Amino acid sequence: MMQHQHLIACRECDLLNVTKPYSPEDISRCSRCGSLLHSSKINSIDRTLALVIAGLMFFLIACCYPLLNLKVVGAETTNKMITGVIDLYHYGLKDCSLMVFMMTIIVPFIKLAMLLYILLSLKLNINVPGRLFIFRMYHTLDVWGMLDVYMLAIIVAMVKLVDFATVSTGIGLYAFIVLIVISLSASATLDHHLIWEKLEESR
Amino acid sequence: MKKKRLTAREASLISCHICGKLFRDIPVAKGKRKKCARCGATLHTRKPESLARTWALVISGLILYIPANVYPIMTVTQFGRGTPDTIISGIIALFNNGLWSIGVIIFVASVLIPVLKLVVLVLLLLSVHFRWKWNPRQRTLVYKIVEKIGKWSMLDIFMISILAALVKLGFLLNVTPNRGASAFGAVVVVTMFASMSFDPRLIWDREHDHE
Repeated sequence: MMQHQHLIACRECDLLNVTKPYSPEDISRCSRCGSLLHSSKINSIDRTLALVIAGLMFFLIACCYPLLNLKVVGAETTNKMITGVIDLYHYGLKDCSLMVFMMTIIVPFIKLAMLLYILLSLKLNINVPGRLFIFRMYHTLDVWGMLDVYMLAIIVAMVKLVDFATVSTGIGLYAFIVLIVISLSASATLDHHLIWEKLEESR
Repeated sequence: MKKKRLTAREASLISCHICGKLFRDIPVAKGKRKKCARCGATLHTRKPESLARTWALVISGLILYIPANVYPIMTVTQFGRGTPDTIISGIIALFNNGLWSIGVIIFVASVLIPVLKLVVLVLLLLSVHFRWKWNPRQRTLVYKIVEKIGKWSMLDIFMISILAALVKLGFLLNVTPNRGASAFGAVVVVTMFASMSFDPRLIWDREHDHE
């Protein structure tokens, strides 16, 4: 199939736009509908790789330690990310439990792991199998990772409980807050176009 | 000759919906799919059956929205007493207790966003069907907003999962999730699929036909 390197089709309105020669930190928008066509990032692979490694470490901490503690006259309970999933399952809301499990644990974890695999192989210049497939899956899964929504849910739950009981934060919550910042930064430093080009070259 | 701005389709090109690479649109044998030579995704000039799929998912969302609001989503029991709350009654209770800040957040996430999303998708679908003259740039913007904010509706479900796990003090204080939560979760997932299956390029295709 013929290649059209100088052209790019807008994802929102299908208009063909002429791409400018590559320059770092360059944002181009569609000339008809104004949607983002492409934004290149400085030092994308190194920065994103560093963030992804840090993100995976904090993910582990956020999963293993309690997020919140609740105290009412002597009685005390704590929760972790996974206990919400397990309890929904036990209360009989299996579909809800699956949704929460996928959106807050599985998808965010797999997304980080996928980026680690791809970026590490690019950084070390080794050709490992399935990279193009994995990066495609990364784009498919992208919308289903909802750590930021979960963060807001934690805040809302805390405020809601303040009237009933004493709520205090756990180590897991601090790790979780760092994880949010890291995963948002990682998606901000990821240069999709660059990764696709590199993966295609080294195939 | 005046240079006319072409869309990919008019130039017989297809862009991959995942990786964005452009290909010449060459007919393939029947039963075979056009695949992106770079990432392997199936190539489509437009999302397949976009209007029909979006209508189906929007209507499913509307239907599921009824049990999501009629059935209770969770029950808070304090000292052995408690009544199940629906989405709306939960929000009203928050306002009555003076927690208006989170009342507003939950109202936006659980009522405003899903309703807005369904209404906007219906309007966009109608605008494509009946070739409304509504500014396509505005419509694209509205579509992009709806696509971006959809996931925040999961807020209530996540909050229920946190509360159910944390608030287990038996007689003193207990939170039980109820069936309505499943229906509401289904509304969110279905409407997310609905906005994904809508193809904003259809807005511009029709616009171009007028010229």
